[in-house]
Amino acid sequence: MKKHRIFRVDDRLIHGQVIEGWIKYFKLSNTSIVNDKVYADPIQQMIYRSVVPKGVNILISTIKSFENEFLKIKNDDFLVLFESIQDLYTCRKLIDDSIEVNIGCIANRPHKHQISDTVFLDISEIKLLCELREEHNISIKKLPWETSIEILNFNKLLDGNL
Amino acid sequence: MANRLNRFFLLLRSLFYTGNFNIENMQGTGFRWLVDYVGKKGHYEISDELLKKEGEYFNTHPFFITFILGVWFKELNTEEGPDYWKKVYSSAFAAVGDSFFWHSFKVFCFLIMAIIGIYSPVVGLIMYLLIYNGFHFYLLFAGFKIGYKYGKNLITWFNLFRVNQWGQIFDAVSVFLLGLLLSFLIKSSGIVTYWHYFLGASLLLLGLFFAKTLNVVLAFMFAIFGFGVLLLLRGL
Repeated sequence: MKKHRIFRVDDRLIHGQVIEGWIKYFKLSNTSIVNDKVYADPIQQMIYRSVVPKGVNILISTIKSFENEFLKIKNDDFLVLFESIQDLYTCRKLIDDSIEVNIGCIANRPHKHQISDTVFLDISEIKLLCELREEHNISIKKLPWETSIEILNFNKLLDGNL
Repeated sequence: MANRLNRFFLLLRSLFYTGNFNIENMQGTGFRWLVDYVGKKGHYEISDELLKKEGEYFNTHPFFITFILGVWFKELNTEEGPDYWKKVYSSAFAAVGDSFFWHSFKVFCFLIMAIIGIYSPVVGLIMYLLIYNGFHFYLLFAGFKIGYKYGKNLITWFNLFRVNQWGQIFDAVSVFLLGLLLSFLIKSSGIVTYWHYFLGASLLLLGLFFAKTLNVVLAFMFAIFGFGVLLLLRGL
């Protein structure tokens, strides 16, 4: 049976789409939140642990310690959630061909450009994404059953300064 | 805002706050509108700058909005500030709300309606509206008071009721109700032979299987086609 190994950037972290769309849809038993703020805040940890369906293991780690934590779930199916492109970029060494990398939602903020209906990126994020895109297949995908948007043309956009 | 009348008007307003839902700030405009309302009613000091900031990106499950407002006002003058907890709880409630209301509770209410509807469609419909709306209206009405009382520790109140198990419990009850509905339908249609019973049950299982693996419309088409083939082979 095919294992689903997913790295996802979603600034909402645990959210309705993540629970219903990814965890329940693929029957994933491991979810990991890689975020320094969540790790440092026991109340936030309790909140996220309280809303994940019963039976789903939830690992919460810092970006720095994730490499070691990742060994625990590496051979199983998993969904790893990052809050930002920067966080994903920091953990890029862990990505291999068996891992699907998708961008789910990055909210609109000042100085961001609309990439899709849920993804808004600034220039620095686009540059990091382009760099990641050189070695890995990354797409924008809200839900598993939706068509993914391939990230291919950002370099051209950057040349034209958007 | 402790006043019941104010909370009732907040409930009414909360039914409309998603009116300006859009892809840029999602429910942000509506949230700012509610913050402005509660701020004025409760005589809170909210700077124009902060109020403007509340119009930025915000998205949660609409049935939990008053809980988030309660937390927001409780944490208004704390070191972390209200927006920190607003973001955390908006994600958490979106997870709980989507999972419970859209995927479990709605199905549960529909099955109650269908069972009662066998005897009286109007009563069935009224029961659906009463159960579904009654519960979420209560949450919207009580949410601010509870959110304000617990502040950032609001999750402890939800944990008293094992919030992450609501979906699973209602799913289990719904499966039982579905069985009950099928029994009613078989009995009321006068279908009493084993063949019809197993045909009905098999079709249901087939439909559930396809609905799990394929999208609903396609599954429905397969079910219609499959049923047509069975009718051709076996007759009515």
